[in-house]
Order: sequence, then C-alpha cells, then structure tokens
Amino acid sequence: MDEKTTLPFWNPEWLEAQHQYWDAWASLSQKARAEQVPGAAWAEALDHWWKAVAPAAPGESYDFFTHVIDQAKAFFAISDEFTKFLHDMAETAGSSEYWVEQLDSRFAQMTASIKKSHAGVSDAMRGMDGFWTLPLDTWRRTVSSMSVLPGDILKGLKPEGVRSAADRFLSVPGVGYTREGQEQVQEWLRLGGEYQTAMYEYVNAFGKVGIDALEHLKQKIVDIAEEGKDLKSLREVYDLWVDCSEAAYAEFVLTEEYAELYGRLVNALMALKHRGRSMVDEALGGMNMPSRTDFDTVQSRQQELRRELKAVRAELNALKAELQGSAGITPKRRTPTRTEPVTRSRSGRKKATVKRKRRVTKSTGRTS
Amino acid sequence: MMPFQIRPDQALQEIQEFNTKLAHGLKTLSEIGEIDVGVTAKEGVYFEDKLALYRFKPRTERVCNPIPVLIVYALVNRPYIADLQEGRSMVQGLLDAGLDVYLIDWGYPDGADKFLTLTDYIDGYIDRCVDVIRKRHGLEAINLLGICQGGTFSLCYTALHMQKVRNLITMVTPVDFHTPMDLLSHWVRKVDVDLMVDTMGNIPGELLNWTFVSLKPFRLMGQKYMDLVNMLDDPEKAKNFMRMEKWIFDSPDQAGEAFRQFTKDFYQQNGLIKGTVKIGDRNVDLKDITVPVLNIYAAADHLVPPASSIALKEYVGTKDYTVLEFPGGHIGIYVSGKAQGMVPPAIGEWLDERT
Repeated sequence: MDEKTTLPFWNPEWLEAQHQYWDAWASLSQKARAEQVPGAAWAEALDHWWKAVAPAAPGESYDFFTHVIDQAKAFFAISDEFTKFLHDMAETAGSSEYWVEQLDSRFAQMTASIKKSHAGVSDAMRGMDGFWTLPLDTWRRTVSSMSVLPGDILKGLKPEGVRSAADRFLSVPGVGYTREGQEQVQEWLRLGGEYQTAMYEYVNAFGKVGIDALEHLKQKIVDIAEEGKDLKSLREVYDLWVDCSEAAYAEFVLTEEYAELYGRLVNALMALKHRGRSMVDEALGGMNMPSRTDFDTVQSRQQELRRELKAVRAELNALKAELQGSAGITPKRRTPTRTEPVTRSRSGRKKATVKRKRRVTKSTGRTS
Repeated sequence: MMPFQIRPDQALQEIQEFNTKLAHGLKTLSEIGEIDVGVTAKEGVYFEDKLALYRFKPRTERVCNPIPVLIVYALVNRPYIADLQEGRSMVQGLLDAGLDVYLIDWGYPDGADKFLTLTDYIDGYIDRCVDVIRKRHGLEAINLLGICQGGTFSLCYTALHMQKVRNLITMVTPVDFHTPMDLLSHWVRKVDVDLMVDTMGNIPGELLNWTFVSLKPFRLMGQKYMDLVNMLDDPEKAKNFMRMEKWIFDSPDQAGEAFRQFTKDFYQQNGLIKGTVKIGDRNVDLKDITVPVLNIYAAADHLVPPASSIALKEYVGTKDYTVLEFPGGHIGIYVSGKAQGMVPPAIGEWLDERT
C-alpha cells in the first residue's frame, strides 16, 4: 500500500478534478472567454473533498479543521478570481495602458457583487464575500455559543418582517389575567426586532469595508506596477488582499460610526437576553422554583459574608501577633488558609468553540 | 507594466502544492495528540477559592536574588503563556537570571464567583499572596511583575500597599485607556456594561475571544490558518501552532462584578490616570508609587497600544523610572526568541541593581 492510500485525508480524485479544471481553463484561455469556466471550481472541489473525508477527522478537532478548510476555500476563491483576471490580461498583453482599464473594470464588477450580496443579510464564508464577512461570522458563532438554542435563531429574519409582526402584536393591548404575561412577550418581541435591526445595520456597514478593501487593493496593485515590482504567486495576491482588508477594516472600526453600531448591537442583544431571562424567572417563580434572581441575592450576600469573615480573621491574627509580641513571645508563623481549589482540569476544559450549554463537565483536579 | 507575473503553469503548481500540503497537513494535525503547556516544574504554595499561588523550581546553581518576584497575570486568558514550552518561556528566562519566581494562577471563575469585585482581587487575593511570600521569606517587601491587566492590578496594589512592594515591573500594561489607537477602549465606550453584566452574570470567555480576534479579523481568523498549512509538514511547528491556538482560545469567564468595574472605571472613564479608581474605600493615586518602576511595552502591541503603557511615566510618583521597549507584539513578548534573549535578562539585571 503506498503512502497516498494510507492517509485518511488523501484523495487523489480531488487533485485530479482540479487538474482537469485547470486543463479546461488553459485550453479555454487559448480558444474562448474565461467566463465560460465555472466560477469558484477549486473551492467547490475542496468542499466536496472535505465532505468526503471529514468523517475521518477526530471529533474534537472537527471545528478547527473546518475553519482551516474555510480559509483554504477563501484562498481558492481569490485565486479563481485572479486567474480569470489574468486570463483577460493575457489577451491584452503588450498594452501598458489597457491593463489598468481592465483592472478598473474587474474591480467594478467585484464591488457590484459585494453591494448586491449586502442588499440582504448574506451568508458568511461564501468565497470572497465570506472572507469579508469573517468578523460577522465570528460574531454569529459567539452569539450562538452564548445561546441555549443552536445557531443564531434570528439570523434568517428580516428586521422589517419582525417589526411588522411586532407592530401588529404590540397594537393589541394586554387584557385579563394574563395581561402582564402578554406585555412581556410583546416587549421581548419588540427587543428581538431591535436586535435584528442593529444586526442588519452592522452587517450592511461591513459591505462598506469590503468595498473600501477593494479600493485599497486596486490602488496597491497600481502602486506595485509603478514601482516596477511584480506579484509572482497567488499567495502574494492573497497576502496583499489580507493587508488591504485589514487596512480598510482598521479605518472603519476606529470611527465613531462603528462605535455606535457596535454599542447598539451589543446593547440590543443584551436587552433581548435580559428580557428573556426575566420571563424565565417569572415562569420559575410561578412553579415555586428558585430563579436566577434568587440565586443572585444569595450569592451576593454570601460574598459579602466571606469578605467580612476574611477581614475579621485578618484582624484577629494581627491582634494575636500583637499580644504575643507584647508578651515577649516570638510570633508564630501564620499558616495561610489552604483551601483545595475547585478548578476545571485540563481535560475537562472544553475548547472555546464548544457551545456553553455543553460546558458542564467539571472536575476537582488541580491545575498545574 | 502589469505587475502580475504568474504564469498559468506556476499557478497550477502553486495550487497543487497547497492541496498536497493541506491533505498531508490535516493528517499531521490529527496525529498531534494532547497539547502540553506549562513546562517548568513548580509547586503550589497557597490555594484560595479558584486561585493557586505557584513557586517555580530553580533551574540553575547560580545564587538567587534574595527578593522573590511575584508574577501577577491578567484575568483574561491563562498565565501559562509565560511558561508555554521549552525555550519559549519567560519564566525559565527569569529563573535563569537568578530570580525566585512565584505566579498567581486565577483559575476559571464560575457562577459562584460572579460577585468578586476588583477589591476582592487586589486587596484580597493579591494581598494575601504577597503576605504568604513575605512570610515564607521573612521579608517586608517583595518584587512585583504585573503583566497586561495584571500590570494594571499591580499598579493599583502598589499604590495602596507601598510598604509591601520593593520594586515594580509592568509589562504590556494599559495605563492611559483613552489613547487614539486603543480599539478595545473605543469599542466599549457605547456599550451598556451594567446591562451586559446584569444579563450575563459572568462574562463568557467566548465573548472576549471574539473581541480579541476582531482586532485583526482577517489576519487572526484567516491568514493565520493559511500560514499553518505551509508549516504542517513539520510536526514540531504544527504542535507549536496548536499550543498557541490552545492558549488563544483558552479564555476563562470573567467574574461579572470585577468586569463591570474594570470596564467602566478603567476603559470608559479612564480612572487610573484621573485618580478616580476606588479599591475598597481608597482611591488609587499613581503618584503614591515611589518604589522603582520598570515599564516594559511592546512597540507593535495591537491590544495595548504603546502610548497607553508609555503614559505611566507621566503619572507615577517614583524618581527611579525605567522604560524598556520590546520590538515586537503583545504575544511575542512572552514567546518569541527575541524576547527570550532580551526581556528576562533585562528584568534580572534591573532587579539586581536594586537589591
């Protein structure tokens, strides 16, 4: 058995598929227009390959592997875009002015694509768009990890839809024995709408970052040409793109506009969750079960008592030392309290990407 | 002239090489196994709640500096970054410099720790750890080395307990929280921190992870993994990467009340330099710090802008103030080869001169 067949992630068909794609591309570059080549074929081939081999990935590493694959797909998507561009360039080789026009034209198409995808809430990690929505994707994963429900449950809802439903619902006054409950649900729905609106505004703002990044990239390519330098590999193009994306992002996130958007997003999410917590507390109270609020009161009082106890103990030890000192007795070394720590063992500590609801495993092992 | 000099056959070769590395590399990753961190032998000398105070065992025969150093790390992330692996350990460097090194490990706060305040951390935990070391060594005062947020805590502690601190070292420590390039500070200005803590209780580590990778999302969530593919043919390099990855995402939850106070008083109100931060019933005034101070900052720090750390000179009361610039970033200062050769020896020498 050769090495290839012993590797769980090795699938020669994947490489073969890409090889065929390239042959087709090379052939077309001599005969026809590049637009006839199916877009993002490398990324799609990688996707198919990953679906086939993913079961061989160790369970706990799956998320990490998937992330690496996602980035490879973004790299392929960029490579795909630029090889098409290079194909167009090949047809106009020799003309030192025309390539800049081609560059403008290609970047105008890419900008239009970003504007189009951000007209609605786009899915993260979809080729080049996915790369620009990385910060958004990370936010959604974070929100999901803090939720008892899988995924971002509000992701698919359009704010205008939520608002219209909420407006209709809110227009009905709460009546009868359940009046208070009705009002709570109405308020929760209203806050859900506010969060969706904040998320929508935040996502749309990132479309601007993508467009600015393209502007940076175009200018950078022109600068490189003027300096007489070359881009010799697809990876160099990718790295340039990362630099330009970071530059555009850094400019945006330092603005007042971003601070407002960020604040609105976080505050809206917290208000929604807070209302949800109050409703759960109400329900628990109705069943005569302890609620989060009850626990908070108990824990707060307990912490206050612990503070007082420690202060009293310290004072007592100081007095003892003083008394022993005045009686000519050498102060006895005070042995510090040695309380066994209750910490998560290394093995019990889940990866940060694991949802919180699953993070219940604890042990009493001492970290060291 | 068009700058793209990528021939079709070169592009094909590049993609094929990448594919091959990726396929082989995922196998390498799947075989890495358990990632070990924290390499230097140590013993726990004091435990309280989730906190553990460790003393590292000496590595050399060299006569030690008689004044021990207590490392106060941040509540955010885990302190093993200071002792990540053989050859990439600030702790080992300090031991090799002849220092007697202690470290506070805060552990992983849970729901029962939600009401821990900064007073509990600074006037409580840190003070008791300092007392333990003072008694063990029969000393009036010891050396303090605060890292990042732990440096801010150490400044507060020293200002309030001057008699127990012989020398203070701050590393990549935020002091002025309103410098122009401070993204964290900029982002948090409009956040309703009270609502956040009242809602979440403890602040989840995942939320902090998101915040930190959002500082440079394309590099930290994208390009970094592309670089990984290129190093996967070397299992040792892959393991080093995974070790760092483990640390980056190993974020303890933050005790709610302490987070509330730190975010509001320090980040939003910039209270450390204004003298408005209160620990217990006392105001922290940096002018009260008159012990020698060594302030080390990283020139390319994306988390704590250099200007934020450098500001210390303006506000601290000591006449013996030294500043050291490390030519690297916030993480590189612990683990890079350059840091190993520069930072711990500099700390050792600075302390020896003042002992």
